[in-house]
Amino acid sequence: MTDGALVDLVGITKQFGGVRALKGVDLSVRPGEVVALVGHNGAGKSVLAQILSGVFPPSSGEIRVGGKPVAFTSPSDARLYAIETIYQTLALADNLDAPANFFLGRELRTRFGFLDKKKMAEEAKKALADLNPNFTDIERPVRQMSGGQRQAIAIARAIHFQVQLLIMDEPTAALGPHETAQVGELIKRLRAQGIGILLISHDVRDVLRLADRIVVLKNGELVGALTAKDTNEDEVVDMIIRGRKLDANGAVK
Amino acid sequence: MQVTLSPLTLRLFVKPPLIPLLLLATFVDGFWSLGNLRTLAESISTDGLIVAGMTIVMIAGGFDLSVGAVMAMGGVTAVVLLPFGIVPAALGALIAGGISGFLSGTLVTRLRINPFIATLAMMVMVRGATLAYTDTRPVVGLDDTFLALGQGDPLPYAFLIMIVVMLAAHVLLYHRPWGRHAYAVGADERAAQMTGLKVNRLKIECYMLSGALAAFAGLLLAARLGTGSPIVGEMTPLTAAAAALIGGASLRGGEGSIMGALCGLLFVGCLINVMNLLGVPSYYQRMTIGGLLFALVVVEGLLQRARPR
Amino acid sequence: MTAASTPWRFVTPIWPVLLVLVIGASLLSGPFLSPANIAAVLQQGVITGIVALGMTIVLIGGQFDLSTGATVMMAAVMALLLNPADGTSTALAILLPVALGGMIGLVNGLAVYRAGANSIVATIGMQFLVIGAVLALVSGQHVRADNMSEIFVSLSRARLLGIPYSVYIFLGLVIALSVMMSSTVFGRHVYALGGDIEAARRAGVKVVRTGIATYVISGMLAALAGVLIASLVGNLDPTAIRGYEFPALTAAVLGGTSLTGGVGRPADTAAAIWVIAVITNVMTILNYQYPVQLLVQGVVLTAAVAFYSWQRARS
Ligand SMILES: Nc1ncnc2c1ncn2[C@@H]1O[C@H](COP(=O)(O)OP(=O)(O)OP(=O)(O)O)[C@@H](O)[C@H]1O
Ligand SMILES: [Mg+2]
Repeated sequence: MTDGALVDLVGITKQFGGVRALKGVDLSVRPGEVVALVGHNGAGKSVLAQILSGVFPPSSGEIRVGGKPVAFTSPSDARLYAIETIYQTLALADNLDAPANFFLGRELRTRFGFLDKKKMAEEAKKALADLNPNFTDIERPVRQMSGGQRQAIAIARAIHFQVQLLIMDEPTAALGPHETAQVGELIKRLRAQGIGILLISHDVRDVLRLADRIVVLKNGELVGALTAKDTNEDEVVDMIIRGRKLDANGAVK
Repeated sequence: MQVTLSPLTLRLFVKPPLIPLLLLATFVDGFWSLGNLRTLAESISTDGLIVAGMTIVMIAGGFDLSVGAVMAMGGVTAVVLLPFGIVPAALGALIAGGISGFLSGTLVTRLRINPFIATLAMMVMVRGATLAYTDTRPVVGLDDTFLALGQGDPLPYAFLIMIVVMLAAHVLLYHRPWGRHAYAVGADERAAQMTGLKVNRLKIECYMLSGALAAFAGLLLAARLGTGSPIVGEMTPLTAAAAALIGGASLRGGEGSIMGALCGLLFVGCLINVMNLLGVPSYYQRMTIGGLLFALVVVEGLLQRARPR
Repeated sequence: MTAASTPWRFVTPIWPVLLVLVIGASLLSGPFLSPANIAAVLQQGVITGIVALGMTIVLIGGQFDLSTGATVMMAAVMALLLNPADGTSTALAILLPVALGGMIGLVNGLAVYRAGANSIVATIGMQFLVIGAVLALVSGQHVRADNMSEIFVSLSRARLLGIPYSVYIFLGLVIALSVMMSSTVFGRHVYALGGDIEAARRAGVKVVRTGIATYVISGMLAALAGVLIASLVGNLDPTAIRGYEFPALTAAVLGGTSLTGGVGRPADTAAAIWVIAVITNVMTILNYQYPVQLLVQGVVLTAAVAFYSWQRARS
């Protein structure tokens, strides 16, 4: 366990029937720290992210928030602890428009208890314009929107509300170069505000530029932890592919 | 301690508890009498044809709610065509059932309508057409050959036919490529499509088979009852679905077997038979079948949920 | 802003169809537009209409409820058995069936949303369970209530401006449920459930609770429909009132409610109910009996499903 950490994952395992997706993973994120989680396809990154956001419970192991053990029974539990997630598969209701998705689960109401559609539309529009000024036609089913626009909704809603830990599972996968750069700026801004970020990405160069620490997952096991400013692209790629053991390179915390 | 049971033991004692039920039935007066066993054989033979069809449809990932209505239509068609001879009557019933199955299959594949809704709509249309044609009255005018078909000694002909159909369905599913394809389509339609299977065609064939079998069951029922009634078969889709589910078929497709269906059929058949012997009014039987089906899908839901996707 | 957009603004062609039908019917037969016949058409749709409103809400959530026909029967029988002669028994004869309808919905909802049962087969099972129980209760006999109280009878027989009270009840429900679906958090969450239940869960929607509530509403509405039948007839053959779930499903689908969830509006279902009522009215005038009407309903359902799936595939 790390002192002053926002969250600690201790000895997390996850079993899906015969598949062991995670085999005893330890991980901590501190306030204002960007931890990058990298690894090959199927390494278990998204499973780890989903455990941390309450989508399903770990098979064994412990989640601690502010040092205290917690059990998430649903994603709304994780939200209570200000843990917000941008899922790899975006988790938007296709039939609803952008404001409805943006405020899903925490709708604004008028004094009489009805939906305050006008206010929600305005706020959502403003939040989305911050990410992408060209994104104005937001009141139509998100099914009709581009991958980038949908991603913008997922990002905007994750940061709009009270957030202390932000989990981003490949947030730039559907974005063009300009929007990707914007997300990079956003991560820096949030970090400066003291928000902890768990960033999952396949873009090693981005990871090196944005992260403080880089954690490498291979076949459900942590195989390396690097400090971003002391390493380079080759070393990270090497570790993702070959997966040196933690103790082998002395990177144990 | 973990107990492991052989598949056959499991099938006969647990899923469904067929042997326990039969043992219990021993305490019911007259269950093992020859007369009652004959009644049992008669009642499960018509349902058996339908369960075979339903199982095949379910293996391929579908469902058929229209079987009861198609059964009524088959009986009526056969009786109406009887003046032309027994062979035209049988062919007519089979063709009528096949056409109805073809329509169901077309709704499901070409129009991409949910199989439950498509066959529910077919059920209503077939029932409506049959009721309209007969003016809601049973049709009569049977000849002796036809009536003899409803008899048979020592075993009812219908029972023998059911056994033959079950065997044929087993061979079709287990020893012919077509059966393999049906399982593949039910398990993962997209994957089956990509490996080049003619998914739509196969599904339509399944519904046609189910329709033809249901109509033929209607013919056998008409022969036994001595009339072609347009109102029979209201409970049939429920009993058939319960038997198929008990026998290991799944509402998500890709699972099920004829052996299982046979066990499920025997279980449901014995249950109804015992209730009849005990003089349980039909209302309670209806309740029991409804409750059984409800419980079955709840259990299936819980099992599916526990299993990883 | 595009027109064919979010579910609560989705434009269905059902209103123009209704308009054309009404004009056509009045041109074909003069007395169609007579106040008496209009009242009759409006009333014809009420019972099925109330069931269909519940069906619509369950469908928007992405599930089916085929047990409602049985609930209608249960409520009608129960209301008469409670013999609504004075004030108290009248209140009971309305409230108890509706509460029981809600309980049936609760069991359905638990099975579907808690246990993950297939909703079509589970609710068909429930349908037979309830029908069997009701018939066993009355041994398949007719039930009748003598000297029903004024209030109970007036539910469906008294008129205001020539239109039966039950029609106003239906209209009130259409408005209330429309507001609920379009302008409350609950309604929004039901749409989200039908759109993508996992996305809704991840966004913090209480999916199980919301889903169960759709079934409870459906059960209560079906029971209310049954109570209205009881107040209309006072004496009934339980085996004769059944099968309401099918026309209700047909109406919901005809009104543009999606069978895969997430799309539909109570008001559109109401329009579809009147479309069907006009067709039935004309068929009755032309002397077509129940079997043909059944056949026509099946055709209408199939055509509606096919039409909407084609329309969606195109857009
Ligand atoms: N809900 C689930 N049920 C069963 N198995 C799962 C589930 N989710 C993930 N898995 C399995 O767990 C393993 C890890 O998957 P995960 O999605 O975490 O990979 P990933 O590292 O995110 O890969 P990618 O880079 O492709 O996103 C895979 O073998 C996957 O099949
Ligand atoms: Mg992933």
